[in-house]
Amino acid sequence: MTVSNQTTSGAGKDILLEVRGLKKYFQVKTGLFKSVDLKAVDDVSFSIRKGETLGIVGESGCGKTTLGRTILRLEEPTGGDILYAGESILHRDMNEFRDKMQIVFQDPYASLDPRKTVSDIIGEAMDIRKMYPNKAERRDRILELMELVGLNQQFYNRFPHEFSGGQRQRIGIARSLAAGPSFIVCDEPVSALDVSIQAQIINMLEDLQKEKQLTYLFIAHDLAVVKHISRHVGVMYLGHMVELAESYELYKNPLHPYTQMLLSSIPVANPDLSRSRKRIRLTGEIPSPLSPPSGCPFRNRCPKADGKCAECLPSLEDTGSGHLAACHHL
Amino acid sequence: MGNSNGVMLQVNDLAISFFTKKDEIQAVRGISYELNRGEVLGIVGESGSGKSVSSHAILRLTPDNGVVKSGEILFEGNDILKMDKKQMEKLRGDRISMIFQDPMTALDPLFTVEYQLNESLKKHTDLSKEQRHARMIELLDLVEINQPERRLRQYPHELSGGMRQRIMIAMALSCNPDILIADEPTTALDVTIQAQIIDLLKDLKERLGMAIIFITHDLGVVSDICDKIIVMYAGKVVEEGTSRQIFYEHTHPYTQGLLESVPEVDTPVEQRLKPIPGNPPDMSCLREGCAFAPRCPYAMSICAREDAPLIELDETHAAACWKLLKREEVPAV
Repeated sequence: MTVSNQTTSGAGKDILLEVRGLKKYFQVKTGLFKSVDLKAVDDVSFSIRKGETLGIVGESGCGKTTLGRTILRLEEPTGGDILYAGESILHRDMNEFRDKMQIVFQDPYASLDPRKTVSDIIGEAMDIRKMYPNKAERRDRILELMELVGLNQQFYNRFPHEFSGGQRQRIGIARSLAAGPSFIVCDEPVSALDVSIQAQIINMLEDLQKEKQLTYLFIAHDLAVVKHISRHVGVMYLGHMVELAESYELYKNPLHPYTQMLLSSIPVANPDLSRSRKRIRLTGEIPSPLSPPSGCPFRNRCPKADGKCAECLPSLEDTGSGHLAACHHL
Repeated sequence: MGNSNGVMLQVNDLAISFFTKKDEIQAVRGISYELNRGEVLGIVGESGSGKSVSSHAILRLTPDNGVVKSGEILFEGNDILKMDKKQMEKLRGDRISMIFQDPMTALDPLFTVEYQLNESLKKHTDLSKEQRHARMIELLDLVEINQPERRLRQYPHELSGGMRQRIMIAMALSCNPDILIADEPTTALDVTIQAQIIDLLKDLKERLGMAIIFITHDLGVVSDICDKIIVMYAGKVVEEGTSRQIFYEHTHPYTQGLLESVPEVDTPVEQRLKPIPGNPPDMSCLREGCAFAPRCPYAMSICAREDAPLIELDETHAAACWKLLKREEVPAV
């Protein structure tokens, strides 16, 4: 993924998805005739290479879910461009791309139709595209997908309410794989699951990626999970990408004060370590996206903020070796 | 007050079941623990492990279709389960109070913060109106809310999630309780806010000397706040010990699995996660034997037939697993 020289050298061949200056503003009514823009995603750019994973982390309200949905044009972007395999998808009929670009949702309870059987949920995408007019073929393909995600084939005719959260998420993943995608947005796929099940799903996503050369945009608020699964990680704050680097590098050497703060607040299952660890005492909360601070969005919580931060927005710049950060104090 | 050894709350062999039209769901199947004055006890388990149900029973908040089948909950020697309405009213909020996972649903959206804080002060204290107001400001200061005068006039929807949880904590602390039950108090919050709330609880514990029961599914959250930890699985205690014992000397395969399945920020990226295979059991049709056996890598033949008792490893550490006994000590089946 990103790393600037590719964007300038006109897209390396192996880049599957590229996002340029993507913006998504929502109009929020504040009075009878007044409305303001809620800048959910503001000028975000990155690219992902085929077969790799870009993780996006941030707190609630930072725009990470909107980013994922806008890339699939489940929300129409306000500005910017989205390129799939070098081709802009903005002014095209999305039906051409839907089988290539899929999504796994966060809530495995709300995202499955309770009145459909597992086979119909998984088979729906194939039916829409009339991929398997032959019933036996369709059935075989669904059973194959169920096996792939570790679902017992006897569950073919069961309904979602008969399954646990982890199994439902497997159904959701099988559904997203049905049309044979190469790019999947994983929108917090494990946050609703119990910890012992989370690891099962993460391992499965990794196996599927290797087997099918899948490319993921992995959105989560759990930094440890994102680090584990992603090759590169982007940190979002109030609609902006504030830092973007290789996963290992980002966690070892966080540059943006917000990333440092996030990392130091992860709870660790190690009492000695967490007692001895220096924690950056955090102050304040994420401001309302309706009235973000001027200049740098993080400045009112930032220990380093000064006059310059209030004046202008720092741009995301390469600090060397592909580690990008948006801060005036680097 | 209390016993000489400082035991304030004692739960003995508590069992709670829910009844639906068809089944009996054994949510809690005989758990026992003690809580000392000023101590922080962590109860860790996944959804359905009975951690919340057992703790809600301390304030008799078990839903209508739930029945306490056996056991007792002794608070300073008196069984809470046998108290009448008046005694319960005195207990709730005054001696034992509770904060919940989702502060939005626990606060009443129709009333201001001031009204809701005032309510419990009016009920449990005989302070005058001015004294109550002063106490409210003091409470908001205590939970580190700035501009307390302004916050008092606001409604819950005007506050952020972290702020609401602080208000909940302020309400819970209003009568200086001896025990605070915190039921997943940070699960709905972002990590930076979660860290703030945990720091706050740690701070309050030091300053006010109250005991805390901290219920969570995330071992990381409790690692530096708890003195003692209980790990629950399928309605039973599978391991208990000091925080260090649970993290560094755990013996139960479930505790081990739980700790290993979570990626740490400092584990190498390439390392594959080790999930616990299988799914948690269906609590409406539990099989005989150890409930964890079907997922356990060490399961022996006895595990499928008989449930292991809690085996004491030392004064503070116990685990319910047959593999802790020598071969000749395991009962023949």
